[in-house]
Amino acid sequence: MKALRLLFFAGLGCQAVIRAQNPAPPTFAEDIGPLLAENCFTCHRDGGIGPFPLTTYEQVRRRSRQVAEVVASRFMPPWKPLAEHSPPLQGDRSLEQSVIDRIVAWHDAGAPAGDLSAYTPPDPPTQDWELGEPDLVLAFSEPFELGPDGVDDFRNFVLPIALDRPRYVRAVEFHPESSLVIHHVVMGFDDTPESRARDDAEPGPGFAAMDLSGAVNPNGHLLGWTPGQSPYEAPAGTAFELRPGTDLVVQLHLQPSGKPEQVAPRIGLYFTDEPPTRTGFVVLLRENDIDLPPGVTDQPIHQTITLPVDVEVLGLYPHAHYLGNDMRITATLPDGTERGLLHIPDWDFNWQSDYRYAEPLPLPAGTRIDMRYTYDNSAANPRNPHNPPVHVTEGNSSFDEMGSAAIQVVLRDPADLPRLQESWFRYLVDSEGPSADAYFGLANTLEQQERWAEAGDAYEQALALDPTNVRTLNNLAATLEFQGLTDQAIAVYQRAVAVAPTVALPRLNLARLYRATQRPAAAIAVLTEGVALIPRDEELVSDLAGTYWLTGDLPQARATLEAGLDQFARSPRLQLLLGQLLLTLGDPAGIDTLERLLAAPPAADSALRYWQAEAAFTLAQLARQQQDLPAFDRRLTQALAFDPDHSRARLLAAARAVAGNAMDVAQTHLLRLLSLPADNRPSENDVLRALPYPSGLRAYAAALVATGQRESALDLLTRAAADARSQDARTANLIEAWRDQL
Amino acid sequence: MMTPARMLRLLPLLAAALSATPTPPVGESLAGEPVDVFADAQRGVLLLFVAPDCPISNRYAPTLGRIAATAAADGIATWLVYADDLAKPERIREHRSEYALAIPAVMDRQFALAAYAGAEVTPEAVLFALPDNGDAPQLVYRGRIDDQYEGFGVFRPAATTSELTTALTALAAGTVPDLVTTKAIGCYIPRPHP
Repeated sequence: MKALRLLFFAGLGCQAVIRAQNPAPPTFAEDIGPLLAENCFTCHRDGGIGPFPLTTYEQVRRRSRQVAEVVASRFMPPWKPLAEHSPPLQGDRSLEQSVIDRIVAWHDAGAPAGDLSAYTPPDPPTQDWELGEPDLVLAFSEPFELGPDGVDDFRNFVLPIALDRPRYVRAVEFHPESSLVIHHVVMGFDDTPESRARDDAEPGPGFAAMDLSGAVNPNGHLLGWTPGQSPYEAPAGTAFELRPGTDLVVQLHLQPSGKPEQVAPRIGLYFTDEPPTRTGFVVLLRENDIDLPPGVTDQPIHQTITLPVDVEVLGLYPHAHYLGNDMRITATLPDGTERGLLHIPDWDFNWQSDYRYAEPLPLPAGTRIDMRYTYDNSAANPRNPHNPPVHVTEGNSSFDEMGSAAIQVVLRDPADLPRLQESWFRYLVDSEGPSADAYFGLANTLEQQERWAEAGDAYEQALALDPTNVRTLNNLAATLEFQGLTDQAIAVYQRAVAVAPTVALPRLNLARLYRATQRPAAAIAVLTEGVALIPRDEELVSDLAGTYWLTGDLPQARATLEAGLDQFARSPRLQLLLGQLLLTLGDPAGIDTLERLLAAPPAADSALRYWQAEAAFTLAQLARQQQDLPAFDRRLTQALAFDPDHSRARLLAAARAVAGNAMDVAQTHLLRLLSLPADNRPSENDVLRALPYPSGLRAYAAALVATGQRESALDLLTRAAADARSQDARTANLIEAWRDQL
Repeated sequence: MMTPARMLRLLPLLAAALSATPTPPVGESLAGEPVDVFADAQRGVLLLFVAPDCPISNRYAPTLGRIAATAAADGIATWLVYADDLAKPERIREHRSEYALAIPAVMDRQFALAAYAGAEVTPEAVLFALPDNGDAPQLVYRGRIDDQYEGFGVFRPAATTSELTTALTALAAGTVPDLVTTKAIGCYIPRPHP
């Protein structure tokens, strides 16, 4: 202890000596230049997004007073959260007090240059993209021209994404193209036509909006950009899937600069082949009851939710408008310990940002999250858009107020997602008051947990508020179906059809239940009415034809399909059915119909390939009946070329390989089969029935071992040997020998 | 640059000098000629201190254009003053064209106009009344353009009041308002360290 203390004093002594030897004020060359290069250069350089460069002595000397003032007031570098009230945040730009003191001392000393030959500012970055060349760059088709004048402009731009197949996105880099007017950015992805429609409805690029339209945070990622923020990289295992036809929606918060500005940022997408292994979710807390009489200075709001499952918090995005003041988000762990998640004591709408933790923050199930904000609607609040203040309530426009916090989490166990969603919808039901949408969402999450009766209750609650909602009626009927309450389900589907005669889905469901309960005439009636009322639904036509087929009325099925094809000339679904029907009728025209489908030009729509695979598979089965084995093999190959995941074609191809003793080929097919998602994977019984006996057992057991299921393989062969024993001891011995070789 | 109006005012200026009122300094045209910003005006002169690389100053460009247009109709001459020892005519021409600033401009490389007007930042407005009797220009307003900015990064979505406009309106109506000064927010004029 004594030794330590001595050392400590020695250290102090050293410092004092250094200070005594070097009483001179800081100089640009020795101190300030390198400090600015480290802390300011990202934006304040030639071609940077800061309004002026701060690289050379001359540039900084002329602004030394301003530089000293803005660092002392902590306006620059822009960073709002208090470091001590949250876990360490990525990209924390705040300066140490000692750095601020040195800059101020330098200005006070008259901004001395020092030996300028000793300092060279670092070269500006030469790389266009911080993360390297993106896999796909999205750009505006034409620049948006922002006028010179006026207040904040919030605009959404819809960028189509040209994809030929689903991709996984691991990073997104926003490139403002050195436009000074882009103040902050929020991005989401929209796989509905909503954003495009809103864009089309307004002339010129983009549309004015403060919401993200139909766009969502993919896999719970909060995608934002503020000046100086690093590009968004998804944490390991949380890449998100992007499907063809999805649009990127970019919301720009623009501030006019005084002259007309061309706005045309670019967005780089970075792909990975690694599918996500982790599931994300955004826990959105939002106060809907904000009421700020003029003059109030510390009006509080409070929202709270308790997490039902273990999560890791990756980041958060707090939000208020101009009157937001102190914003604090905390977590209270199950043992009562309180942890700060974020604290912004002087909220500034213009420097809003999403914040990401340097390391994910684990929060156990049972943690309570509290969001406590205050608002200042007095004339003394310089950010108040109204002087004198006016009465302000909750709303989306910028002169209304908002109070929300989007908290980005990943789940420790992806299977927990429905429970987290359930808690969130229960929070919505409690905090928003009764709302049909919240009950609907709650019911949905209960359905995912197969809690059918509770889901049904929640749908009933939604219906009480919105009795003619066809979506709710349809889903309620489905929960009744799952509970085996067929008659009640039929009654609710009937209600759905009655309130929305032109919606196809409840009709299809009702017809299906009629068929399942041996009432094909009723199914035909509800589908026939649907075909007449809903002109653009080929599924109704195919179901109607299929129902006729089921009743044995093949001519009527054929007439229905031919009439349908008059309307949907290229419908692959109807072509396939007609081809199959004609083959059943023994009409060789069926082959021509299927060949036409197989020859259809490729379309962006991947569904076409699914139907083509079915057509090839139908012709494969025909070839097998005709014992034309070369044609059989060729058609199977064709089916798999159209859809490598066509499980029945894959299974027959595996069987052919086993029969031909091509065990390597068989192994390839079986491994592919085992990798299919459960709902498209044939059962073990189906596989073993399809494969030649007994060699198929050996091939399948080998595939199980190759996928890490050695125990299942041993068990399978043991059972198979036991079954064989009573019939044929030689086969049983052979199977046991295979087992012992495993 | 000796216009008739300037000639008429020679005497009062001399009188002003004798009574220890500082003589208004001249600015410098973009062609390098001396410019008397107080010549030619009827009721008053509005000096708008601006800088090409000051974001707050630039954001006010459309507002400055509107103020100058109204002032001109009311017999008040408006000048953009580029107070900067390193002011470059070509950069100023570029700036005026980029920001559509159709207001006559002078350079103030020795900071004489800035010192005379007491301007410290850009943008800052300094309004002088020109008394009918030919006396020296009388300072009636100095400070912010309006109340949109309250500090660096502290600003309203839009201004709610403008003392400058109030002074201009009074002057246009024929009264010489009492002096009002406000704190302007913006980039400091790069005068040498004291």
